[in-house]
Amino acid sequence: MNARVTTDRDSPWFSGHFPEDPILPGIGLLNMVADCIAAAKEETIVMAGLGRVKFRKIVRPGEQLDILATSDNKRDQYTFRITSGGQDVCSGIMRFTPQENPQVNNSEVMSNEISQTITRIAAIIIDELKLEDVTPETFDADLDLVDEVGIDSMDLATIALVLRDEYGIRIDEDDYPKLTTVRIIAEYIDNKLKSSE
Amino acid sequence: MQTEKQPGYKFSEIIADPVIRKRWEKVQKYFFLRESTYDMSNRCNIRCEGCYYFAGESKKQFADENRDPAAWKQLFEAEKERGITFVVLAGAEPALAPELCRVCFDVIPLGAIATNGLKPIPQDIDYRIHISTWGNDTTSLAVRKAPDMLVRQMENYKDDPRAVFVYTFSPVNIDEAREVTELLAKGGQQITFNMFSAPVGYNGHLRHTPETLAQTRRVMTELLAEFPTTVLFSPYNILAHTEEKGLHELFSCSYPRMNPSTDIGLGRSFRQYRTDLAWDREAACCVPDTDCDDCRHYAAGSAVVTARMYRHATDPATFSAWLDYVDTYLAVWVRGYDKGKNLCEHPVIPIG
Repeated sequence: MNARVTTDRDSPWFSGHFPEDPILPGIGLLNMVADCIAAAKEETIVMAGLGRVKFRKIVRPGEQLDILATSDNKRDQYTFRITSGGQDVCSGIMRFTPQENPQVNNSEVMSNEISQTITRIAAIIIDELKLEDVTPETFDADLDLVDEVGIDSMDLATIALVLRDEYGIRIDEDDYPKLTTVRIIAEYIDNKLKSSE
Repeated sequence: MQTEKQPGYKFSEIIADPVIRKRWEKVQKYFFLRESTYDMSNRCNIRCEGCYYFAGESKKQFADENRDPAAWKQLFEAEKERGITFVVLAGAEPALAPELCRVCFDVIPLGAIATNGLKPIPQDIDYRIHISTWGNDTTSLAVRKAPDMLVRQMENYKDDPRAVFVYTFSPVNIDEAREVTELLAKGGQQITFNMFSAPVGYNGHLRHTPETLAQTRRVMTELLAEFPTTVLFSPYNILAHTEEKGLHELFSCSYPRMNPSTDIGLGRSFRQYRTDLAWDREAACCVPDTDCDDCRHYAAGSAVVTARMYRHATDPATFSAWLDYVDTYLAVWVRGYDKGKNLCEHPVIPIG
């Protein structure tokens, strides 16, 4: 999917962000991508997650942007890139769920409890690894922590210690290799907590 | 809700101590190190009894020698690409292939070279240089068939901040460590300790016994106390490397040779390249051909003990002992890293 967008000088995004130094906020860029994908799919969809998002260039009022989004092999996942005059502005991965009856497939819907755990683990990883350009809310819970985030055994040991403090569980060293994504870690913690109840 | 039995301290409580936190933050900066090792030459200018390179069954000593700098450059660039940030250049004798060591240094700037120290390595190859020492010059002559080794090694690396002497304790040289340490202290040079670990199939007189392990522990302890600025070691290093149990039994070795997992850590990233630029997962560890049950190598411990951080985070003393171990490992292996004062001066039982 290709789209070309010119940012509206009168957009409310710019009025307070920032006074006398208007910049399109990152969320505005992401919203633009989501709107374009929704329009291309001709259905109502809800953004379910973001991954590997990088913001590389400031966007000013009236700037022309080119948006390219391609469907990945994974269902409802898109890799996107925004450029301005050939310069990279923003890139990343965006995942969606259909809006209609979003709770039909239980396997795709996280319980609130797991969702909170995922967000907390993401926050710990971001803090310990000093990751930039990502927030606990936008961290893709299915990213491979070794291949895609680049963590190694010492990073994981540190994270395991922080999780031990937080949840009062022991994470066996032999289990490290299994803990490949934030979602898997969250489920591991959930199981540990349930088994100790 | 009842949770599993926890250690007495939270991790956050342990590192709340300002001294521990400062050391933790100091070592944590080096968690990016990802190591692999490379045999740079299949030649050596001496032949030592029980040599790790020429003994053993992996046949690495029979690999062809690739002397093409372009081929090595290509290898190191590929290594860098796959995330290797620290190299260990070994042998037979890497000082016989300085042009290849230089190619490596130009691509990956952090590393160490294991050498017998008889041929100086050019100054522009700014890696840590580990000079192997197997006793005083009388013993070296008997075991390594080379006269005046220590005298020549010290002269070659006089006032060279890259150099650290690695004294390998075997049953026949335990008491000579004092003489060697005193000489190095007078020369303003540094020493760290290694343990002779038998190659597979070796049953000669250099293999340690419970008695020689205990004797080694006593001598190491004395030397560390008497020469704290010369000896790069800690009380926990001493205990971990002189236990009757080897490192694998104590800490579960994470090198590929003993670790089938390729998911994370050394099992995923470590390779040991031979002189023909090939590597074999079955033989991949820091000193191939060592009998794993007898392994107490300083190089193995540097990776294996360090990797077991979680189990040491039980209380301030145990975690401090682990920090001392990591601080020692970094001081021994990384150029420009200065060892701090040991935090845990009393013995802590290795966490097996």
